[in-house]
Amino acid sequence: MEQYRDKLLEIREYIKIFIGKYESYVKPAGKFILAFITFKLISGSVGYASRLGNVAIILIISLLASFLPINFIPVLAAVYVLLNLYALSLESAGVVAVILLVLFLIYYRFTPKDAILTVLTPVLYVFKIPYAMPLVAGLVAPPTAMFSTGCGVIMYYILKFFKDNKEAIQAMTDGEILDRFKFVLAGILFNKEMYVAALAFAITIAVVSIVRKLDVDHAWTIAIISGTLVDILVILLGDLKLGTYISVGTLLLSSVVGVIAAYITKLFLFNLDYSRTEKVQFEDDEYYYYVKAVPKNLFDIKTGRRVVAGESDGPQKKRQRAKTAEDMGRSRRYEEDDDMSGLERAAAEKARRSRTQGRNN
Amino acid sequence: MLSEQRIKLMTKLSSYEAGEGRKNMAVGSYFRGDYIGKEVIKSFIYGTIAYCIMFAVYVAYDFDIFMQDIYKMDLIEFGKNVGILYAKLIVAYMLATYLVYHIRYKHARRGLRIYYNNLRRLSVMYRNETPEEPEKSKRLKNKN
Repeated sequence: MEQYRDKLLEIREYIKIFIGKYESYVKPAGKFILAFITFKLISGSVGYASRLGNVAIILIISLLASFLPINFIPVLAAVYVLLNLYALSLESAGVVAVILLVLFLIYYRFTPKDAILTVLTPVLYVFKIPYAMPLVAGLVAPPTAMFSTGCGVIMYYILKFFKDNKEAIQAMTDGEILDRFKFVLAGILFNKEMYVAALAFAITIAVVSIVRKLDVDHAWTIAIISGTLVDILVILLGDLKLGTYISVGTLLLSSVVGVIAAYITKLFLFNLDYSRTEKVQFEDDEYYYYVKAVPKNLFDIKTGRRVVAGESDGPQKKRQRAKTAEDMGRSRRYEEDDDMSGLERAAAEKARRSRTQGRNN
Repeated sequence: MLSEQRIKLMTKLSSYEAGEGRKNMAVGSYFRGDYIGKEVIKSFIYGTIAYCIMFAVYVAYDFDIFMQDIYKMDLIEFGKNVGILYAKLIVAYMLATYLVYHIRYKHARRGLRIYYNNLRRLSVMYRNETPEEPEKSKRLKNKN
């Protein structure tokens, strides 16, 4: 078991070194790949405009997306979807445009940093692992990510509706504009499965986000497990209450994949050795500090073995670390000083210097 | 002479100025009340537009039934219900906006406080590194 963990840590170090070294290439390449997958999947679901489905066009749009900020990918994806739906029918494009406009006015005007989750959620749905999204998003993003993933769920079910009902929409004649409009609107807005999924994702993200910040050992592991259970519970309850007929097998399998993805995220972002937790106490002039330090699991590529932070520290390094912690307490005071006026600040600084001189003497 | 500590601090400051600092400085240039008030007013406008669009879609969905019943229904009661629902939704939305931007303003101010403190530390470092004038030349200057 330890060998596998060390191997994973080694792989993590190599990935971090690689990304750190080639960041200026890796970021645009990542955006290009994400945009390409997104547009290809949209084209596969609702590719009614044959010209837009051309691989060359998709490559050009993906290349454009790689140079723009990552939050532009959802915008480009929305425009791409609308152009394809316009080729199907004007009412379809109109209804989706209205939905996107309302979402933009209510939510996207806050310019959320996690807007990319709106694109990632439908992508994971297509790859049959949607329940990985709320677990990973809860670990890495703030609780407001529940709104981005909710929008992502809505987008997926919109695309699914048009994919499943293409023939029915095309069968309606041009004279039945109102009927087509009502059919599309009802099909999108009265989809109970969509609301159950969005609610489940929102609650899961909230639970994971809150639990991982608790001051307990193995908080992230507890967050992943509780998030998974909450997610399964909400979906099963929704299924029972509203009769959405969700496949339990897919739900469980996808949840297992979600847990694995969440653990990989934890390996990269929050890998600690709780067995070597240190608790120290110290004081300065105004406060008494209780500090809990949990060392990270690191991997030294030169020696080829796992290293726990602080393991090989001698007494000098430990004293240095204690001094750094004390300085951090002092810098916290600097933040509070900013609320005082200039004269008060000068007086406080003078008093602090005289106390320090007194201590040194 | 190059001071490693000073260079690290300057790099940190420069990185902040280029990234998060730009947004935080734009936020920090407002008073708290003005910043939050501006965003709440924007939310009021956007929320009203969104509500009008949703109401229009609702009417369009049952347009034929709506046109049939328009002469039978109590229009004042209908308008009152629409107005009450609008009031509830817009108040909730403006409250949510207030909370979001209150937190954002707090984070921006905190980031700027740390940035200005680091600037002060850099200034102290420069002062400490500048060599003092020798006593003799000081006395000569005072005589002149």
